[in-house]
Amino acid sequence: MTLNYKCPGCGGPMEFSAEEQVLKCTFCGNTLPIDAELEDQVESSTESEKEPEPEYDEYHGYKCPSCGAEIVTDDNTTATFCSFCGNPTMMEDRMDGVRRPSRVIPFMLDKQAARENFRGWTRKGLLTPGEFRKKATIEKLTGMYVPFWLYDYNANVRMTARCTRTRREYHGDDEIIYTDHFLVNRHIQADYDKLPADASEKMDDDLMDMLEPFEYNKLTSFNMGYLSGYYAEKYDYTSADMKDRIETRVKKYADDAARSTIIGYDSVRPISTNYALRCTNTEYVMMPVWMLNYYWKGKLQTVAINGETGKRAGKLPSSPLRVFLWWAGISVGSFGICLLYNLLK
Amino acid sequence: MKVKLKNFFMLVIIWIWLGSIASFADSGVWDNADLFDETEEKTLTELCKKTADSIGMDVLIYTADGMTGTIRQMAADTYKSLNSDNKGIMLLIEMSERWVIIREGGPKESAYRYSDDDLEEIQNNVISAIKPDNNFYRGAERFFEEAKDNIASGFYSRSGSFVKTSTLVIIFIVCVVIGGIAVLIMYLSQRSSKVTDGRVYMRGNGEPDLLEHDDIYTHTTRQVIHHERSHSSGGGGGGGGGHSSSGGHF
Repeated sequence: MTLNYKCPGCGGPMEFSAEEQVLKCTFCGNTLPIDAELEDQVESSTESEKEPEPEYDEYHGYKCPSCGAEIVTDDNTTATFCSFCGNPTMMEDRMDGVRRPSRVIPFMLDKQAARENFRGWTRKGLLTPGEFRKKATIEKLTGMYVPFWLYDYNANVRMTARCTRTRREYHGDDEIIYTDHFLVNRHIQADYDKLPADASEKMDDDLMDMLEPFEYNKLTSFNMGYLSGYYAEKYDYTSADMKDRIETRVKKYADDAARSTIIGYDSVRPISTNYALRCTNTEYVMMPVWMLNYYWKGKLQTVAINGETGKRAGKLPSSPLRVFLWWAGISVGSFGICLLYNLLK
Repeated sequence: MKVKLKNFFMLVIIWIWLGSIASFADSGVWDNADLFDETEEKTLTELCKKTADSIGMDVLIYTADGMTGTIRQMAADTYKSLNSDNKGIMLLIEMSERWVIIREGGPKESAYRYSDDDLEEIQNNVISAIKPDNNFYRGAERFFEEAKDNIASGFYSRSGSFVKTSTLVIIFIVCVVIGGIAVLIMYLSQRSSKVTDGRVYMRGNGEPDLLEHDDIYTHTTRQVIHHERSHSSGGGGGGGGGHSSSGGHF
C-alpha cells in the first residue's frame, strides 16, 4: 500500500519540515503536527504490488495515490517521489511488523541549510573543482532516511601488558638508564549504549561511520509522517547479520578503554587481551542523511551530511589543475619572497 | 719639545703613508721574495687585473721570505695591510718555510664567495703546479685558473652580503617542498573528520569500571652510555674580515 499526506486545506501534498518539525503543505503552507491523527490526511492506494516480471524481480511497481501513475522502486525503498506528479509517496506495507523502525531522528537540517553546509565545505576545499561548487551540483543533494541498528553492549576485558618505566642518572661522563619492568593486569567493564551501524547495503559503511555521532536525545517514536518529502530505505541486514561488524568495533573501543587505565608508564605492550562481549539490546531506527552522488572524471564521488548535526563525511574531489596551480603558486611565491629578502637584506 | 714635535709629524706621515697603501692597494703582485723576473711580474700583474675583472673582486699575489707567527696569521695581516676590507683573493708564497696559502678577504663573512673547501682545493692545486721544479710562475697561473673555476656565482645583496646561486637552488628546492606539503595538507583537508571515539557511547562519564588491577614489578635493567665531553674552550680567531686555506708546504 502506498500513501501520501494531503493538506486538509487545499489538498496539496504535505512534506515534513525540518525547520518547524511538522508536516507542511508545499502549496499553502498549512501545517500539521506529526503526533496528530495523520491517518485522516492520508491518501492511499491499496492496489497491491504488480506481479513482478521474473527477470526484473528486484524492482516493484506501485500506484501513486495522487495521480495514479506507476512508481517503480527497488525492494528496499520505503519513501520516494512520484516521477510524474512529484508527490512524496511512502510504501507503508514495507514498514510493517519487524521492518517498522521503533524510532527515528527527524531531519533537523532542511534542504537550504544542507546546501549552505555543503557550499561552506566546498569553499574550504581549495582543491575542489569549480564544477563541484556549481548550483546544479548542489541541487543534487538528496535527503534520505538511512536504516540503522543501535546496539547496547556490555564489554568485559582482561588485559595483561608488559610495561616499563625509565629513570636516568648521570655520573661524570656516564649516563645510566634504569628501566623498571612491570607485568600489569587490568580487568575492566565498559557498557556501550546505542552503538550505531547502518543496515543498508547501498550505503558505504565508512561514510556512515564518519557521520557519527548522532544526538540521541532527538530520537522519537517512528511515524510515517517524518518520511514525507524524503527518500527512505528499509534495512538489508538484520541485527544478527551485523554482529561481526559491530563486535569488531566494540572490541576496539573496549581495548582502548582498557589501555586508558594503564597509566604512569613509558611503554605499554599488551601481551594478552580477553574479551567477553554481551549484546543487551538492539533497536531498529532511521537516521537523517543528506547525500550527494556525483561523477567526477568517470568516478562516483559520494559525500554525506548528517541531517541532524550537519557533520560532513566523505572526500571532496581534487582537481589536478588546481593541485598544480596551488603547488606552483606557493613554491614560486615563497621563492620570490626569499629572493627578495636576500636582495634587500 | 722640538724633538717631540718632529716625532709626532713623522708618525703622522707614516700613518698617512700606511693608510694610503691600505686605501689604494688594488689587484697586483708584491714579489718581496723575488720569485718572478720583471717580465713575469708584469704579465702576472696584467693577469691579476684580468682575473679581477672576470670574478669581480681583487686578485693579489704576495711573496715573502721570512715569517712571524703562524702562516694563517701572516696571511690575515698581509691581506689587511694590502687590501684592508676590500673583497679579494690572495695567493701568499712564503719562502723561508716554503708555505703556500690562499686567503679570501672581505668586509664580512657573508660576502665570501669561496668556501673553505674551495680555498683548500685552490691551494693544493697551486702547490701541485709549483712542486715538480719550483715553478712559481706556473703556480701563479694555476692560481688564476682555479680562482676563476671555483668562484661561486650569485649576486650581492644591498648590504653587500653575497648570495650564492647554489644557496638559491637549495632555497628553491625547499620552497618546492613547502609547496608540496601545503598542497598535501589541502588535499587531506578535502576529507571530512574522523570516526567518533568510543567514549561517546560509553555509559557513565566515558570511563570504564576498573574491576581489578595489579602492577607487578618484575626486574630492572641497567644501561650505561658513556658521553665523551669536549673540555676545550672555543678557538681563537685569526685576523678579521677573511678566511684562509690551512696552508701547505711545497
